[in-house]
Amino acid sequence: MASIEFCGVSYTRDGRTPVLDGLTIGVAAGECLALVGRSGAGKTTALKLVNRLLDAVSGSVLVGGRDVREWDLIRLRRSAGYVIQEGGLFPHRTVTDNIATVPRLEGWEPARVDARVDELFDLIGLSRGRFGHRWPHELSGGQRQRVGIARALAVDPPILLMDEPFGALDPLTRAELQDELRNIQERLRKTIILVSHDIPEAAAFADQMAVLEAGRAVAAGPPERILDDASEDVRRLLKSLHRDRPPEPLIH
Amino acid sequence: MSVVSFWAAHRFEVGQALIVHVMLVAAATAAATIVGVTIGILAARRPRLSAPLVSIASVFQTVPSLAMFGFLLPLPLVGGVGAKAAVTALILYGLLPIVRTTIAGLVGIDASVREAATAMGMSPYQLLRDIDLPLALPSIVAGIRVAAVTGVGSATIAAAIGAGGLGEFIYRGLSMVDSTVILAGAIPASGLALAVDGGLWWVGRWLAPRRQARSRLVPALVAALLVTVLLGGAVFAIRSGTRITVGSKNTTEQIILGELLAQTIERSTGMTVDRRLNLGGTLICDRALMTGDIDVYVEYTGTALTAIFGKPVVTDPKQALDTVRDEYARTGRSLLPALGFNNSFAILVRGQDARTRSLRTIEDAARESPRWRAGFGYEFLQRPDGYDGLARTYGLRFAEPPRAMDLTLTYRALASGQVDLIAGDATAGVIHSLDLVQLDDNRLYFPPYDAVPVARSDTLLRYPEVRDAILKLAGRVSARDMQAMNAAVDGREKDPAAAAREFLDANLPDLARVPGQAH
Repeated sequence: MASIEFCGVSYTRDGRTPVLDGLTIGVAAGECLALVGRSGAGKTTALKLVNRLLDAVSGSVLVGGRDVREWDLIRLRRSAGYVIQEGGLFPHRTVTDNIATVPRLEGWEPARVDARVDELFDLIGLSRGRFGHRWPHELSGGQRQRVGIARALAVDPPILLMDEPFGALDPLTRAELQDELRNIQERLRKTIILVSHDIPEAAAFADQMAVLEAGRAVAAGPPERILDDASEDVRRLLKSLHRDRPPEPLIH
Repeated sequence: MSVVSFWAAHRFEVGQALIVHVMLVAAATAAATIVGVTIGILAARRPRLSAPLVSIASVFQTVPSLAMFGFLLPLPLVGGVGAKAAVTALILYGLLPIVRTTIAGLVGIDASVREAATAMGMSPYQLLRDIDLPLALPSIVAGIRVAAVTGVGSATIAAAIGAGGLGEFIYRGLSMVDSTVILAGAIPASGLALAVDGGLWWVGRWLAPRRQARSRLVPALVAALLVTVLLGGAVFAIRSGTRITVGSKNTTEQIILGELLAQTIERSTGMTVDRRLNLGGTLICDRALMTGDIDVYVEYTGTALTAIFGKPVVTDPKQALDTVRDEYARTGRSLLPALGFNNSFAILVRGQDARTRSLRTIEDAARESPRWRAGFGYEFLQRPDGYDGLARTYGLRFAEPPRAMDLTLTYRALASGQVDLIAGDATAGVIHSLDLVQLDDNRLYFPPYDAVPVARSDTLLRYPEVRDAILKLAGRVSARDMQAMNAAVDGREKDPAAAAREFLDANLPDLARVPGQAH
């Protein structure tokens, strides 16, 4: 069971200004929670508390019902695939070697690594023959992002943490990739936390959505309910988020 | 003789010097890489440490090389004379570029790449091994390249402290006033620098992150560095495995005298003698004798009295000898009987001038000197029995302040008319070949410079046969003998070893080693 819960979590970088201020939200195993909000609302910080790239100042983050600080750090991180904008691929490794990183760290047999890499290429819809030996800088943005997702899924972790995974892509590629990710999710049923400041993207993809403002969740629940019955303040916030970005096609 | 024929004649010697040179630079660069990369990693992790660490490394680089060797001389373990001190100095010089480029390489890594690696559950060690070092490697290699190339240059100066290498030819050429010999060392040194530069440029290109075929290269590079360190260490261990070490300063005469001592000890005791000939000056020899890096060398009484012990000038030879003997005894060294010649300073002018202006004495020269320029070695300008006293005694004045230059360059400067009067060695072989004339010290200004072997007392106690061997040279080398040997070596008819060998064959034939007398 890989549910994730934030229980009154606070975080501050400098000891004074809170980045997260008593955040309380959760997502059940196999569901996707989208964190939306303005830049600086604390979305990325919340995400990094899950795999302990950061540690909460107070409150606790539970993964599978256990405080993340009680987990073995390496086990915790290997249980949570991490996807960031532009993929964060290792520039000195080929696509195949990037994807095979975690299985190799886990000490898998070469034959097993090889078979898994094959599966992952299939999953993200790239040809291993064409792309396996390329270097990250030889790929397009969308291809890089796919490789990043494959790398995060390599040892089949129950959790996927995604920070603006489609942020740097053009609208068409973006739509295509969102579709693919939705297909993957239907098959794999990972527990996903998706950070986005794109409301339509979050609404189309997530089972649950939380609107963050100044380190707190000002609204939380299934996306359609939030969009329908949110308070005036939240509506205004969501509208302003739309205005932040250039107009984009809705995905359906 | 052209450089090429010099190489042909000395190919073994040049080849060996080249190997030693490469070893010095390789060992120093390897060690500087390990230390520098470690410091660079620490500094990149803790930005607050970065500035002070880089400043310390910068300070090392601003120390002039000869001064650096001077600082290292009295230090145990890392200092002294020979390859060890040279490698230490080269390591200190190599640190800055490597620390700098390591920091630059690490700081320049895309933060999202490191974050992704951390989020995968890489341990700090795995992060360093798989991400940080491979990505910073091209930058680090650029620093190693700078360190190695400057190391090839600095290593030529290491010959001054007896570390060997191509600098030996440069120093020998300077003391022989022979540009062919200088070039014989300088050309391969430049070639080596270019080869190292090109080679490491290629390695850097090959390692560029996107061309890299997995991080297997990091262990390979580390292994290569370790191998060079071990090889270098082995070479130096072999070089320092001998029991008796003879030293000498970096003049032709001193090298011949060093050979003379070494061969005398070898012939009469059968011991293996290590030679640290060509050390860069009186104080370096003295410190080396103090620290035990050398066991014996030939000093001159006047030099010991004033330059080493800071005593006032004494003109009585007997009194000078007694004072020096006492001073040496007080510091654990023993003065052995004088070799027989007095190498006083010689005030020299061109033969042409001496003949046309009928100059015989320094007094005569004082009449002409206001129209002249003078050139003196650094030592002569500093020492109490040097220029100041000479000028006062004879009322010497020159058209401009005397030019300070390397002693060995003054002869050629005089012969070619760049200066008109110099202070050279009375036994210099070039005096005759360059048609120079020694002026008579008619007011007896210069103190005696009797050549005397001086040895560590503990060495003489441990190996009495060494004392017996050196005693056989007492009073056997005349000023004429010395001038002839100097002339033969400076004129390149013989190398110093051959000159010493032939002198011993002719004058001390009974030294020849008897089998069974060996230890």
